[in-house]
Amino acid sequence: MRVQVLQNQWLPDATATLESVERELRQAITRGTDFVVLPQHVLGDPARTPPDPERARRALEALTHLAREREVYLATGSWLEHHEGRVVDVARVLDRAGRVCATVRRPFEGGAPVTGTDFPLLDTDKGRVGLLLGHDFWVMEPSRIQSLRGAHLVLVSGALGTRNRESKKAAIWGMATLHCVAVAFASAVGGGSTLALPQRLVAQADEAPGVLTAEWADDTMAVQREADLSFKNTLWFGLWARRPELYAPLATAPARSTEAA
Amino acid sequence: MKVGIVQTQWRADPTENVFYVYDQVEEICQGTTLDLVCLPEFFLGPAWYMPGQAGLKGVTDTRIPGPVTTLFRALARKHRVHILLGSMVEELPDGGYCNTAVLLDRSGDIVGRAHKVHAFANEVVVCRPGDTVDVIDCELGRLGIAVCSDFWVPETIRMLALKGAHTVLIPGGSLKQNLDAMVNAFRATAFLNCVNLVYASPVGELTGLRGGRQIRVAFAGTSLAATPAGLLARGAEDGPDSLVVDLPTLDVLTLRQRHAEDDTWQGLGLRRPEAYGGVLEAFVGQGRDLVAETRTSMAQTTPTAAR
Repeated sequence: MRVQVLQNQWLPDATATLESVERELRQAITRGTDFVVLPQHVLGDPARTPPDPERARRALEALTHLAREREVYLATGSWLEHHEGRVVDVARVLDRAGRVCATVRRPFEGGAPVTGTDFPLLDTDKGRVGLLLGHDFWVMEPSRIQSLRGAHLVLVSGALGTRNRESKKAAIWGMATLHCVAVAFASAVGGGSTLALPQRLVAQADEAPGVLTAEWADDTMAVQREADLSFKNTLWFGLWARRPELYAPLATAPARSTEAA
Repeated sequence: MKVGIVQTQWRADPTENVFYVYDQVEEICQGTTLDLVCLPEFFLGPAWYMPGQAGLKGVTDTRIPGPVTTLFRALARKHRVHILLGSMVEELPDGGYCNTAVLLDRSGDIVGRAHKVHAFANEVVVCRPGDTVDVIDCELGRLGIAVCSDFWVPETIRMLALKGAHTVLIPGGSLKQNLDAMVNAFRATAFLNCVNLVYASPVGELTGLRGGRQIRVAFAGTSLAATPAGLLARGAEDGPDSLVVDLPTLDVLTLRQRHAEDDTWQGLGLRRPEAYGGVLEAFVGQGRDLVAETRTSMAQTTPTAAR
């Protein structure tokens, strides 16, 4: 399986950024690539790139064409759109025929979550995959839940940001290890795009724009996740040895005093 | 909070281990005032239920309280230091076993204990797992204990952090094959849960039969300490070691508060528990009975364990 992540740079306007993304992807996506992941806010700084239906249509059309032409699953990255009267950050995955097969919407200015779009999974011809957007990746539970539900690869349209960069770079591989899942993390802001397997960091970008490419055998994750009672491999343990009957506190709103402590 | 981590090395004669570890604790307490000393998992030596170690039954396991806790309680009192006796194979009054860590305070009183919750390897047959993941309130503030493989099920540290632990103590045993991934995962766990972590591991090797095949298990030290900001200390891989670290405790609690200058708080502060029902589900790929398989494997190698 071949996975590629784009780390792009914002240009002065969103149209120029889209053109640059398209150009970069046309050059970089190689025959046989299975998944391509674009970053959160791929078209520009959200503070200066408000929702624009025409621009969103053009971006989705261009990426749809590319997914179909190169026959790849393409995580579009995100941009702002209006949805049910609110501004939301939207990320999608297109299948090899260019059809939308997963969508995540997150309220841009806080407020109640958009129902029905939490932590989506998609069944692809390369197995089950999850999609995460932005901050959802830095909270452990979403990628944990996707892994437990059978995702062997999590596509993250993310942003490393400018704070705690080294800790976050470590955390991307760390989550791959702890959840026994492959992670493809694309970032525009702050760089740090990463491809990670549980047992090793496969590729990690610094701040320069570009495309990371990695390839691993299709059964790599299935082998990693199979219980090995010789214990030569132990990374499966965190999925198999769980005792969910003890984890209710993780799915229960905490008392304020405890959380604040 | 000033913490000493004692990385032990198993002696050829397991009956010597306890005195050797005692001396190491004495040594790390000399010349510096510590708040806490942490010992590794199996600091008394290999557990009798490990491959090829059946002869150690009654040697490296102990009652709690018992002679080992009595010895170290006196040491805690002498140095006015907390000691994590983590961990020991605890022989229970009914003949069962637990993998148990015990926290002594400066007076030598037992102020906390934790049983390994997520049993590893032969423990799924031999040991009674703990059924709670709780914090300990003591003079050092709110602490958590996660015994070895409990670290590898990330729900454990997550729950301890959410229950308010500023520091989680992890007596463990580093397997040689996973060192790089383990060290990185350790650092990541401290950041993602906004918690200090202290990890003490022994150095040691054993050989024996597992599933009819001769195997070698190597514990490779690499004791660690980390804050949410990164690693503070790392022990040797191939021999005994002593680490002393200053762990900020108030800083961790401050980092958990929402503020603009730092975003470490987000890992806990942006949680939406109502959306996390999925953590209460089993892994979908779990299609084998590992307890039954382990019981069969042990019957082929250590008959006494399979009763």
